Amino acid sequence: MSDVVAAGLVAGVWLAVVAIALASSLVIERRMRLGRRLERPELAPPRAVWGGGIEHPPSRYAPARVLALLARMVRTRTRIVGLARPLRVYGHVVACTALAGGLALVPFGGRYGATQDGVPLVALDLAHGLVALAFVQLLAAASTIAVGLGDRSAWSRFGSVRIASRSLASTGLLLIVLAPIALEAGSLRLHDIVETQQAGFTPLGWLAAESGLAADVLRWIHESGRLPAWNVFAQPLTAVLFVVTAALVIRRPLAWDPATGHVALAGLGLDADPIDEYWARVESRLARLLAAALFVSLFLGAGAIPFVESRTLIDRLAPYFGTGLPSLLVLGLEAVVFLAKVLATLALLALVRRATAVLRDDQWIRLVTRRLIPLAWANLLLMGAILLVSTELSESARATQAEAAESSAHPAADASPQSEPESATAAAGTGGAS
Amino acid sequence: MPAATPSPSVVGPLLFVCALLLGLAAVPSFAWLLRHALPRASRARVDVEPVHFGVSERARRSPRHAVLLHRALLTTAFLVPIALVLVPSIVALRALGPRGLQSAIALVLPVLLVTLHARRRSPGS
Repeated sequence: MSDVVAAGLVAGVWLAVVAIALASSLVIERRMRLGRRLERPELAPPRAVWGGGIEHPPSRYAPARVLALLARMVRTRTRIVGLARPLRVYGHVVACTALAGGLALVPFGGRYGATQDGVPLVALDLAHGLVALAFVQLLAAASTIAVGLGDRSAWSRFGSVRIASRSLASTGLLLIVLAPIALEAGSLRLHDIVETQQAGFTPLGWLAAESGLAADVLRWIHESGRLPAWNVFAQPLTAVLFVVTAALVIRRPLAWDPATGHVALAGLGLDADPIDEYWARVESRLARLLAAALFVSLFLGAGAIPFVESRTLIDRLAPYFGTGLPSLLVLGLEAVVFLAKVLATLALLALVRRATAVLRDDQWIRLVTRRLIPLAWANLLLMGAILLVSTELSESARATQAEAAESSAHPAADASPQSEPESATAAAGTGGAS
Repeated sequence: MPAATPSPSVVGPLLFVCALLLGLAAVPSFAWLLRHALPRASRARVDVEPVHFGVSERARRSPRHAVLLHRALLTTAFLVPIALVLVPSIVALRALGPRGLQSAIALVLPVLLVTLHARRRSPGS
C-alpha cells in the first residue's frame, strides 16, 4: 500500500472516530444533565401521573432534537442593530479550523502494520507537535475572544474577558504540565510519546538489574504484576494536573450552556441567532473532544490494548490471511479501542464536572497561580530528577553487567597478555642458560 | 526512543480537516438552503436591539470607549506573550530539540526561586 493511500486511510478512520465521539458526547452530556442526583432529589425529573415513570421532555429522542434545531435555524434569523458581523464569522471559522487542526495532530495508535517503517496512525505528524498544540490552543482561545467581542452586548464582552483570563492562565500551565512527558519521551513529537507507551512499565527497573535478594524480589514483582507503560501509571501527578488544566481550557462561558442547562448572565451568544449558537456549541464540543483525545493519547497509550501487542496479533493471523488483512483489522481494532477510551474519558469528565463546584474566574486564577503552577513546577523537577537518576543508574548497571559478561566469556584472553612476558622471560632465561 | 524522522503528508490532514468542517457545516448549510426556498417576506431578518440587563440609560448605552480600550488591552496581552515567548521558544526548540527544555528550565528556575524568595507575604498567608 502506498504512503498516500495509507495516509488517506488513516485520516478516514480518524474522521470516523471523531464523528462517532462527537455524536456520543451529545448523548453523554444530555444524560449527565438529566440523570437523577441521589443527593438532590428535588432536582429529579417529574414523574408521570399514570404509571409513575419519568416524564421526559418532549425532545427525548435525538432525531427530534436535530429537527428542532434545524427548524430554529430555518425559522428566524436576527440582525443586531449597528453590529458588524465579520468579526464573529471569522472568529467561528478560525476557532473551529484550529480545533480541527488540533484533532488532526492527535495520534490514535502505533504504526500501520505494527512495523518500524509503517505509516504512523496520525493524520498530521509534526516533529514539534506539542508546540503546535499550544499554538492551536492559543489560536482557538483568541478566536473565541473575538466572537465575544463581536457581540454588541456588554455582557458578552465580559464573557470574552473571562475567556481571556482563563486562556492566559491556562496556556502557561498547559506547557509546564506537558513538559515532563516531552522530557521522558525525549521528543516533542506526539507520536513518539505514544510509542514510548507501547512497552511494559517497570517502575524502579534499574534496581531489578542489580543482583541480590532485593533485586530478585523486585524482578518477581515486575514479572507478576506488569503494567502497561501508560503515562497515567508512570506520571500520575502529571495526569491529574492535565485533567485540571483541560477543565480550565475547555470551559466556555456560553450564554446557554448545553452541558449544565443554565443560562449564564455573562457569556458568549447573548446576541447570537441560532446559527451562531450552533457554531459556539460546536466549538465547545470540539474543544472538549480534543482534550479527551489528548488525554487518551498522552496518558492512556492511545489505541493500545493492555497486555496484547499488535505485532503478535498480525503474526498469528499472517499464515492464514497474509499481512494486508490483519494490518487492516489491527488498525480498526486500535481505532475502536481508542474510541472506547475517549468515550470513557468524556463520561468521566462529565461526572467530575457534575460533582465539582463551578469556580468563579478569580477563584480559578487564584487556584492556578498559587497552587497548580507551583505544583506543576515541582512535578517537572521531580520527573527530571527521576529521569536523570534512573538513566545514570541503569547505565551503570548495564556497564557492570557488560563487564561481568565479558570477563566470564573470555577468561583465557584475560590471562594470555600476562603469560606472554612470562614465557618470553622464561625463553630468554633458557636461551641465556643455553 | 524512536528516532524516525516524520515526513508530514499533506493529503491526510487536509482530507481530515476539510471533511470534518464540511460535516459540521452540513446542518447550517441545509438550513440555509431550506430558508432560501421560502418566500422573501418570510425569510427577512428581524432587527433586534442588543441584550442588556437593567432599565437605566447607563445600562442601555453600549460602552463603546471601554470596549475599544478593552480590545486594545486584549490584543496587547495576546501579542506580547506570542512575541516574547512563543516565537523565540519555537526557534530554540527547532535549533536545540528537546534539549531546549533543559536550557529553559535552567534559565527559569533561578528566576523563579529569587522571585519566590523576594516576594512579600501578606500577614494572613
